[in-house]
Amino acid sequence: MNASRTEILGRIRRSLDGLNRQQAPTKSDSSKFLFASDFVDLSRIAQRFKVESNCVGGETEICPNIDSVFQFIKSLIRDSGYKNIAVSNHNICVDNQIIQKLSVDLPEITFFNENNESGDHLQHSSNTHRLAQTDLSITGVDCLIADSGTIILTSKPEASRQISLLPTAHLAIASINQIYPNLSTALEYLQSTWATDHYPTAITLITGPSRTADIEKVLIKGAHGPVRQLALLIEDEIR
Amino acid sequence: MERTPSDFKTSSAKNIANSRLRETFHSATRHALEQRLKSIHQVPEWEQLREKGHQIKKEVINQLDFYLEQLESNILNNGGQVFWARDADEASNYILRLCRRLNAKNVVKSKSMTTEEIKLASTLEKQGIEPIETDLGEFIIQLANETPSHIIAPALHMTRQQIGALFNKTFNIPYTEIPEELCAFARGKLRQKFLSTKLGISGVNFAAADTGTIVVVENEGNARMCTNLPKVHVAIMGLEKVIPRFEDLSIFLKLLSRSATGQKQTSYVSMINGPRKVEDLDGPEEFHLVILDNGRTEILSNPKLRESLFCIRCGACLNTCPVYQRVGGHSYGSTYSGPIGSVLTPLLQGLDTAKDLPYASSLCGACSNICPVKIDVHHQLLWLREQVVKQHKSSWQERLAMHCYTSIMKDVRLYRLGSFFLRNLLKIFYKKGQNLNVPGWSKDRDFPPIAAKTFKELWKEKTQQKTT
Amino acid sequence: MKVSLFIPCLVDQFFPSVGMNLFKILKKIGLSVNYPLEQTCCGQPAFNGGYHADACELAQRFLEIFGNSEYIVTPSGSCASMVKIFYPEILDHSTYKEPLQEITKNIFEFSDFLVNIIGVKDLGVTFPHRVTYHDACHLLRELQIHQAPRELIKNIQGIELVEMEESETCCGFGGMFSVKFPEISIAMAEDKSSAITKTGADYVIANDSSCLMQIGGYLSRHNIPIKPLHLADLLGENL
Repeated sequence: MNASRTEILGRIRRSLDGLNRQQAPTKSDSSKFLFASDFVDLSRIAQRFKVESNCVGGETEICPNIDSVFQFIKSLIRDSGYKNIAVSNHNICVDNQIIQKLSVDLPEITFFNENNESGDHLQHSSNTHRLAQTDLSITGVDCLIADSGTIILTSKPEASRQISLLPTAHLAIASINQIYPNLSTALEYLQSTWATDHYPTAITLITGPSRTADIEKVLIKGAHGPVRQLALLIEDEIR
Repeated sequence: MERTPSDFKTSSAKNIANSRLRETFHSATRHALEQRLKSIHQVPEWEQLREKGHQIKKEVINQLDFYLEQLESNILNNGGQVFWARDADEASNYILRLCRRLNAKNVVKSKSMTTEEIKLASTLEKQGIEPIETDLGEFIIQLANETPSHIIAPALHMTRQQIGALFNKTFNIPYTEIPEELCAFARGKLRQKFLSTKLGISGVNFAAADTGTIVVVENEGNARMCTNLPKVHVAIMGLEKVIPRFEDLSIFLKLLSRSATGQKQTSYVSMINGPRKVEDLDGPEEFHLVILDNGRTEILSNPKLRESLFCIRCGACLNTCPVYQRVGGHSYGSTYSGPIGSVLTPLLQGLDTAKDLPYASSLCGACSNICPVKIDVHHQLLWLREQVVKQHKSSWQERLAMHCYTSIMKDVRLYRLGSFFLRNLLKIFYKKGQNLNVPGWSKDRDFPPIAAKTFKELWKEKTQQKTT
Repeated sequence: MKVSLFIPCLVDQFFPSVGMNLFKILKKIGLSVNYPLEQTCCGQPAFNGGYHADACELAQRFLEIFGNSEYIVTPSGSCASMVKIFYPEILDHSTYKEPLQEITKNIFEFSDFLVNIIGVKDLGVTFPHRVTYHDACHLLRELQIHQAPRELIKNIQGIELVEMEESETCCGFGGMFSVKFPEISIAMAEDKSSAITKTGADYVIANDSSCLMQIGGYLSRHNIPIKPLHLADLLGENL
C-alpha cells in the first residue's frame, strides 16, 4: 500500500512545513535521565529488590549460596503441591544442574527441560500445551532492577517467552551481581550486550505476579499470567 | 446502545442523576488519584520528568516523518512488516485480509483504544470472524455488548453483581459475584483461546524508532499471550506513538505507569523487535505493525492543537476532571472520553457531531496540571471553541447575544446605558435585593440580586465627595 | 507607586463592595489609586465562548485604557489571567508586542500584588471567626497563586483558617458552563458545599466573585448558613 504511505508522509510534511525542523540527537546521555531518587544504595541492592518485589506481590528471598536455593525450591514444591516443573536452559540452571539434582531429590515430580532439539516450535507445539499445564517454571534472568523489583527476560535459545508466562508460578534465579539500580541503567547494560541490529525479539519486564483490578477495583492476582512470581537472589559468587 | 458525542448533554444529565454510577466513578477516580499521588511523591523530580517527556514528544512531532520512516526501516530490518493506514477502513481491512490468509476464524486481542477507534471488532464480526477481547475489563464489556467507560478500566461502570449475572447468563455457570472467582473463570476460558488462535492483535504504547521496538504495557498478562503465542502478531498504532530512542523508554514508562495506576512499573512490559528469529524457541512467525492516521495528520496541521498528539493515554486527566468524575466515560459517546477525549473526538470525528464536547468543561485546568507530558489540555479546549465559532457551528442566538455583548462593552456610554436600562427593567419584576431568576441557573442555586449601585456609580460618588 | 484599579464587570454590576474595599485597602497602605472610567470588560466571556475576534476587540480597547498604568490591580484571578496569559495568545504579536509586554508585566491579582509586590501580609485586621478558603481555578493554575491569599488570611487577628478537603477542586462555575451544563455544575457545587460544611467554618473565602456567586448560590438555596466572602471584602470591611 505505497499510496497510503506516500499520502500520509506527504500530509505530515505539509503540516510541518515552515517549522524550524531540527533533528534530534541520535543518542542521549542517559545519565541525564537519572535523578537523585533513582539512586540505590548499592551495598543493599539485593535487599532493595526484595522490598520492592514483595511490595507488589512478588515473593523474593535472598539466598547465601546455591545449596540454599535448592533447599528453597524443594520446600516450595512440596509445600505448594506442585507436580509439573519446567526448567529453562539459562546458564544458571545448566551450570548448577538444577533439573538433574532436583530430579534426583524429588523423583515423584515431573521435570521438563525446554530444549532446542525437543519438539517442534510451531504455535501448537507440545511445549506450549505442556507449559500451560505446568505448575512451576524455573529460569534464570537477563538482569534485574532493584528500585522496582523487576525481572528482565529476553527471548533466546536458552529460554522461550512462554516459559515465564504460561505456568501457574514462575521462579527466577539470579546472582545479586545481575541486579541494576534502576530502569535506565538496566536498559543501558542490556543495550551494551546486544549488537545494534540484533536485539532480542522479545524483551520482557516482569514486576510481580499477573494482576487485575477490573472488577470494582478489587485487586486480584493471577489474571492471565502466573499467579505467583518468585525470585531467589544468590549472594555467593556463582557461575 | 450507540451513543454519539452529540448526546453528551442528555447522557451526562442522566448519568449524574444515577447516584450509584456517580458514586462509582467519583470514588474510583478519587482512589486512582490517591494512588498516583503516593507514587509520584517517591519522585521528587517529577516536574523535571514531565518536562523531559514533553520535550521528547515535541521532538518527535516536530520530525514525525523522519521518525516514522526510521521506525519502519528498523522493523523491516527486524523481519517485520509495516502497513500504513490512512483511515479506519484501511486498517481494519488489512487485518481482515490477514485473517483470511490465515483462515483464522477468531482473533485474540489485548486492550487497545486504537482498535476501538477503528471499530475493528464490528468489522471482523460482520465478516464472520470472532474478535475475542482478552483484557478482563474488555472481555466483560464485550459480553455485555457495551463500550469502555474509562481508558484504563473499561468496566468501571459495572458492579460485581452485574458481572456475576452476565457470566451466569452467558456461560451457564453457577452465579457468583466474588471477583476472584469471576477472574479465575475468565482466565480458564480465555486461556483455551490463547492456545488455539492463529492471530493476536495488540495496541502499542510506545514505538522506539532507533531500534524498531514496539512496547506494550499491561498488568494481566493477556497482551503477552496475544503477542507471544499466536502464529501472527499484529500491532496497531496511532502514528503519534513513536518515540525517538529506545532509551527514552525509561522516561515514558515511569511517566505512564505512575500516572495511570500509581504503579512504579506495571506487571509486564513487552518490548518486541519483530517476529521470532531462527534461534528463538517460540514467538510469532510474522509481525505486522499498522501505522494509523485516521485524522491525526489533520491534528498535526493545526499548530495550536498539535500538542494533543503528545498524549500517552494514561487516563490521569480523566481521573482528575471534575466533569468526568461525575458523568463517567459513556456520556462522551466516543472512544476517547474525559478532557483529552473532548479534544481528540472533535478533531478525529469532526465538529458536527462533537461540538458540545469542548464546552463541557469549566476550564479549571486540573487536566493540564496532571498531564505527564504537560499537554495544555484545557487551552486546547479553548482553541477548539474558537473553531466551533469560526466554522459557524454555534447557535444564531448565541452569536447574536455575543455580538450585542461586544458592542456594549466596546463603548462605555452604551455600557452605562445598558446598565441603567437593566436596573430599571429588573425593578419591574424584582423587589430591591431580591434574587434574580436566571434560566439554567436558578433551578438549584440562588442568583444574587443586582447591586443597587454599580461600582462606577459608587466611585463617582466617592470622588465627588472628595472634591466637594 | 500608582495603581490603576481594574474592576471586572461582574463586580461592577453585582458586587461593587469588592471594588470599594480593594480601593480602601490600597489607600490604607498609602498607594495612589485611580480608576480609569472608560473600562468595561476584559473580554473573557467572549474568549471562553470561542469568540476570539470579539475578545480581541475588547483586548485592544483594554490595552488603550490601561496601557500607561504603572500597576493594574484587580480582585479577580480569572480577569487577571485573561490579560496576563491569554491576551498574548490572541493579539497579534507584531502589532502589539510592546503594549503586551508592558501590560502582562504590570497586571496583578490583588492578593498577589499585596503580598509579593508590596510585601504586605498584615493589614491590622481582626476577624474572630472560623473560615475556609476556596482556590479559584484561574488564580491557582493560570497564575500559580496559592500562598498569597493564605498569608493574608493567616495574619488576621483572631481568625481560624481551616483547610477544606479538595480546596483546589473547581466549584463548577466556568462561565457559560454553569448554565450550559447545569446538572454537572450543580453536582460540582454540591460537592464543594459538602467539603465546606465539613470544616465547620462560618465563612468561605475566595478571591473570585464568580466562584463565590456559584458557591454562595448553592449554599443559600440549600439553607446552609455559611457565608461566601471575597477576601477583599473581608479585609476592607474590617480594616
